[in-house]
Amino acid sequence: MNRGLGNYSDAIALPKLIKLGPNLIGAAFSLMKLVPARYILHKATETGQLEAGGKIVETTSGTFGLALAIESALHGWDLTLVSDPVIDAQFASRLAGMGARLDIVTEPAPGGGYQQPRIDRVEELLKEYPEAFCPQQYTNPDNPRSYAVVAEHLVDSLGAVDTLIGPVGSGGSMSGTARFLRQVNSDMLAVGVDTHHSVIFGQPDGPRALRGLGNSLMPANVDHSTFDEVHWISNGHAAHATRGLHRSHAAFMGPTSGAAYFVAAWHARAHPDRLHVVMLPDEGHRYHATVYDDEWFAANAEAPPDEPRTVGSPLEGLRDWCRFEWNRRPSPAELTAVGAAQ
Amino acid sequence: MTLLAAETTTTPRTTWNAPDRAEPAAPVGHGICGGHHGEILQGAFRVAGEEVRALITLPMPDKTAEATVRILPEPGKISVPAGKTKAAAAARLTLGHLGLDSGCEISLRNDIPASLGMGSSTADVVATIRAVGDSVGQRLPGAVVARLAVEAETAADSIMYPGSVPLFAHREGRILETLGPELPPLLVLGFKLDVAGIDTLEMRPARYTREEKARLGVLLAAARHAIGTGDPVLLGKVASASAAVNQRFIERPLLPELTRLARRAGAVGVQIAHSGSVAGVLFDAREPLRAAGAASRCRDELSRLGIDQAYLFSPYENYRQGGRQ
Ligand SMILES: Cc1ncc(COP(=O)(O)O)c(C=O)c1O
Repeated sequence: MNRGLGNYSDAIALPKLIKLGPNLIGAAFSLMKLVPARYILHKATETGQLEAGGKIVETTSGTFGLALAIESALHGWDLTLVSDPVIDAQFASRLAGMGARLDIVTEPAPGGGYQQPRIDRVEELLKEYPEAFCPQQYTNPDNPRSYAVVAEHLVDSLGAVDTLIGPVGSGGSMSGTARFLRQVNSDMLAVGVDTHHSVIFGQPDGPRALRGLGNSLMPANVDHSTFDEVHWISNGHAAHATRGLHRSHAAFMGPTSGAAYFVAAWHARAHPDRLHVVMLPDEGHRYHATVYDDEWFAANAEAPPDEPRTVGSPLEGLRDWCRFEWNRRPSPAELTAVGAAQ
Repeated sequence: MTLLAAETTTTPRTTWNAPDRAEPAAPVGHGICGGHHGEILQGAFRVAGEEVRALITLPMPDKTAEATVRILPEPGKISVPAGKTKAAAAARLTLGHLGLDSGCEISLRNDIPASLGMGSSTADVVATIRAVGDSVGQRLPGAVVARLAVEAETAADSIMYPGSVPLFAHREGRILETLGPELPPLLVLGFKLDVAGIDTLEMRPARYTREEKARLGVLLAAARHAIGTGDPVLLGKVASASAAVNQRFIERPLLPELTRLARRAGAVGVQIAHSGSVAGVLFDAREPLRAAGAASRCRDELSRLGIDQAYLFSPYENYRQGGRQ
């Protein structure tokens, strides 16, 4: 990544490295999703898939959309983000303020949820505008690959990392960063942080309050063989941990950061001889009305226990703070089969 | 011949206008340059938004080329030992660079094995350039030596920079970045691979995939950290990983076996001359006795693979190099 003077995105794309303990470093991103957005869009301009002033279409109501909006504002691309009514007004106005178009899907799928209707709407738009470029963060292998610059930054500053902890949503950040860090330490442990009722690590789909990590569809960009260990954290515990991170380290981050930090701090205490790095994907500004609101906090947050419950199957981990030794399994298929049979 | 012996046999320098001599003796200059053992890291790297091919050399200071140059009054007359045409070109370029309208006679001594990718011909060239400079009392800066050397032989190694570890753009002859004053403490158990050396310049530049470039970027960052903090373990990983990336371009069938052997021997990594035919097993030399013990056990294992001409050297003594420069 350009180390010289650059635009807003150039200046904030790499994480700040924060000492959170004697053997724990936080990789604090202003907006982690700038990393894949920049790489994917840059490559698309190189290969001619995206021209000056060209159209970009993507489904997202999250931070990837914000990153695409920032890049589009800076490079003059015409961005349409397909989202749903759940998108909050402040976030929508921030996107619109940079010239992004919001295409809101209003009809949920018959079984509930907007993910499939949003994907269908993107298909429609791509039929209408066949020249439009779709970054496809969930399946595009350039999402994980883009994290080489993060691994570079970490290795440049810290040398070999012993344990990497981070939230898993599309899987890009953890699968990619771990893959590149393992080039200089193949024994590095990768610890994924997910939330209950996310299908990523073999739990049945269901309502999830903690957003940004977890998924109700399996993203192709999760490379399951990356992970040595998986933790499931609830929204209440994540909120409590996020406030704790702010209180004790003054790091104002979002709830997926809080969840990852909580797991990382436990790991770092348990393994004082290992250097831990935790991915902190976004800042707290979007969460003033939730995690950082006292009333919301009193009603939703919950102090987590000191120790996780270690479970023998993802299906035993549907509540509480749970930990499962994933052992670099290539997929959750056999686990859920075994779990279902029990 | 050792460095000290070389210095004591050097003819005292005489200047053009020695005032107290009736007949000035012909100016004589001396230059020396160490060899190397191939690369620790080689690839294409993004530097200031540009993609540049570059490498980090593993110096081998035990092996040297030495040049003695006697300036001849006849312009354009360059006399060199048979087959040393690159040294002749280097002398001509250096005379031109110094604005000297004269010829010279070059004698060379070189104990760096030729055609193995150990910088033997670059060392001739660099020693000659230094000797020509020395003949008129000039200590040519590394960047000038590098530029002249690249001109004389198209591409070069970074062995003209004693006292620093550069990331060197070998096709352009320029330093992209100085990674530190010296390599971390390493002991190298080197040996000849049973493959032909490849002419670095003849070979088509490797076409790295996006994934390989991404990996190389991380390896460069790791090399920077390892050299900056003196970490031989991390640098060993860099060498092993770079050797692995290179397999797609020049396959060394022995590499997987070497990697297992190195791991068993407690080595920190495996190093391959990326376009040459030598390889090395790298040991952490922060505890020299332990390193020597591990290397000697590893030597036994190598001989079981049929490699029984292995040799030991320490690359970090390199900054002794440079002769009188
Ligand atoms: C705030 C936040 N945290 C974590 C993640 C998970 O990162 P990844 O998609 O790389 O797995 C995301 C993904 O959108 C996110 O928005």
